[in-house]
Amino acid sequence: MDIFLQILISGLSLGAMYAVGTIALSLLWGTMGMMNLAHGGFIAIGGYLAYWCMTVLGASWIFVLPLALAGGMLSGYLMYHLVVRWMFERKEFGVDIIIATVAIAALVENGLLNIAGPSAKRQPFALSGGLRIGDVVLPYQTILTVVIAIILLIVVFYIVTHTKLGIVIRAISQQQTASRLMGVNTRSAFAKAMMLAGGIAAVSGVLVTGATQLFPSVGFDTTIKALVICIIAGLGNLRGAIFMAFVLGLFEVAVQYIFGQRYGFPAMLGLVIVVLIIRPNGLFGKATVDRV
Amino acid sequence: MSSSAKQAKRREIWRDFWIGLGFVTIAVLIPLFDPGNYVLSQITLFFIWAAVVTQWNLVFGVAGVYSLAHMAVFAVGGYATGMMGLYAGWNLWAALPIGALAAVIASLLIGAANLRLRGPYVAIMTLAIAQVMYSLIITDVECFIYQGRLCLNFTGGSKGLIQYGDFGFRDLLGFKYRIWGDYYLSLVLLILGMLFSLFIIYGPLGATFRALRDNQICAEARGVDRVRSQLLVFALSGIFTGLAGGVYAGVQRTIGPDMLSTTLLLFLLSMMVVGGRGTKWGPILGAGALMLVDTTLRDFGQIRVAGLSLIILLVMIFLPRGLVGLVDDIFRWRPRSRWEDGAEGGEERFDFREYQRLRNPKKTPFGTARNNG
Repeated sequence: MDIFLQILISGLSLGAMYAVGTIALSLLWGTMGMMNLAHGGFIAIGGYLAYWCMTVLGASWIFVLPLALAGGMLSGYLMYHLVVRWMFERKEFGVDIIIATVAIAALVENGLLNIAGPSAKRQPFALSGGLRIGDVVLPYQTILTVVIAIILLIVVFYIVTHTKLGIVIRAISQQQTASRLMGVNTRSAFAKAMMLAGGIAAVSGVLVTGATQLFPSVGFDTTIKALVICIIAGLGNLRGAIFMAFVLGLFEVAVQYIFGQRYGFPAMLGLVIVVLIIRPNGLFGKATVDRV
Repeated sequence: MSSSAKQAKRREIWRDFWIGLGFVTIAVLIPLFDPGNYVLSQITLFFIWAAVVTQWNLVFGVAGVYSLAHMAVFAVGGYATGMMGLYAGWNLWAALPIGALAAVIASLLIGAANLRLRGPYVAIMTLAIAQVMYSLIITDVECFIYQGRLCLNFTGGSKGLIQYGDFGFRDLLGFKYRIWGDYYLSLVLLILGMLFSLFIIYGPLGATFRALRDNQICAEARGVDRVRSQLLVFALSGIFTGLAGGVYAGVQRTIGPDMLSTTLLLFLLSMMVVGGRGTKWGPILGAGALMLVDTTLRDFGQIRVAGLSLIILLVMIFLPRGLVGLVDDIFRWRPRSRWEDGAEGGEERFDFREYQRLRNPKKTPFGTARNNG
């Protein structure tokens, strides 16, 4: 029973992190048809900004999350205007942008490696201790992670469903050409979507590194897992992606507890491959028809 | 095929023949000038990477299946060869075919796992597969055999496999000329791999792969079996990738999980991208260019990866068709009608805007514009 609760707690916190990652990635896939492999770079940027904010600047923890948010948004904005917009009109954008974002991720990782060094650091923006429920300890960091993740998810959902930007994003994801003909400024919408995704990723980076440790390649695994979760849920489907993030997070933690740490990700990937063989468009995805 | 198209194809084959002959001649002669062991070993590495990228290009560029797990296939070849040497005590020459076979099987499995996915989805899944292999290898701590009191993992763990022997060039050629053996072996590997890929690109299989890449629905409607083709391209590209893995394992006398690292993946990916994916000579050109850059950047060890990533970004933004595309543009600078090129341009894609522009020439004050030059 205790083990079950422990798995549930760890799984929920992992799932919350995946959910935040998948929502940032789905947002970009939905609007621009872009798989953002540089997501891990944003995560690392957020983590290091938080670290520098508290150690080098010696600032209070209050400034950490706003700073990470701003840094992530700025990175997203720069990435759009320096790289993405120049490749957007191409026929092979889908794969070109994967190559380019892998390069950006490596660039960020190498930059952080040179600035901060390869050694793993402890994230100062983290809570120690935990709440005891019977024999199970519920760490405060987990509570913080889940709460902030849920806030982020609510904010994104509010933006997508209730604001003008959200309407634009949804319009573009449904019919890009038509929305442009209706006078939608797609470029500005793309830049805003990238800023949003960058900000979310950076904030989640602070939380991820708070639970584990801080090193330059910290976001890479999370990115791949979040992308895989997006695929299995059916890309562009936000609710499905969040649901699958929690399910697979729990699954991964359960496998890790039962069979050992190293089999978590392989088991998850194997499950995903089997599901995709049965349902190639993902669990909640609709089959799209390409016209010749 | 019309006779003019046949002629154009023959002309192109001859052109490829002369390029290849020139390349091989230079490559064969280089060691005779005794450029030193470091240069020779770098060129050896270049041959191996170029051989890998030519095979990757078949999957990624020609067939348009965006697999990022090609280095995993390479690693399987290398590991299988090394393991046969280490655990079965085989001579590495005998282990090479086993490595190739293992790579073909791994490649087929990867291809089969992605059969129902398309486009960018494949890239993510294959990257995830490679990442899983990497993490499984570096977390491998169980003892497989004992060497004295030393515990050896099955995959060698994060340290990799060592002491499985080599190709025996030291006994055959002496210590000084051992590197010549490695050099010419890798060159032979590259030549065979390149011939193999040229045969596929020129043959009916290449046409099938390109048809599926350019328009899957049209190709399937004309009776192309997509499942069979995808499995075939993965299996075929596995052969020489596995051999290259084995040769690498023999030349370097060690093989480790860094074969699956993102850095190396990025390095080989940039070879293909910089050279020009889907082209015939792009992989070799790109591998040469990147090895040159890498050797230059090695003095700045720290920023090597950053430099490589910047190069990829610049090439992706400014030269999406790669160096081959650039050379092509320079040589075809003289304005010519696209219809003449179309017959020989195996790589040309159907461009509807170009087509419209040519069909409906724009009238300008200076006469009718026939082309965009």
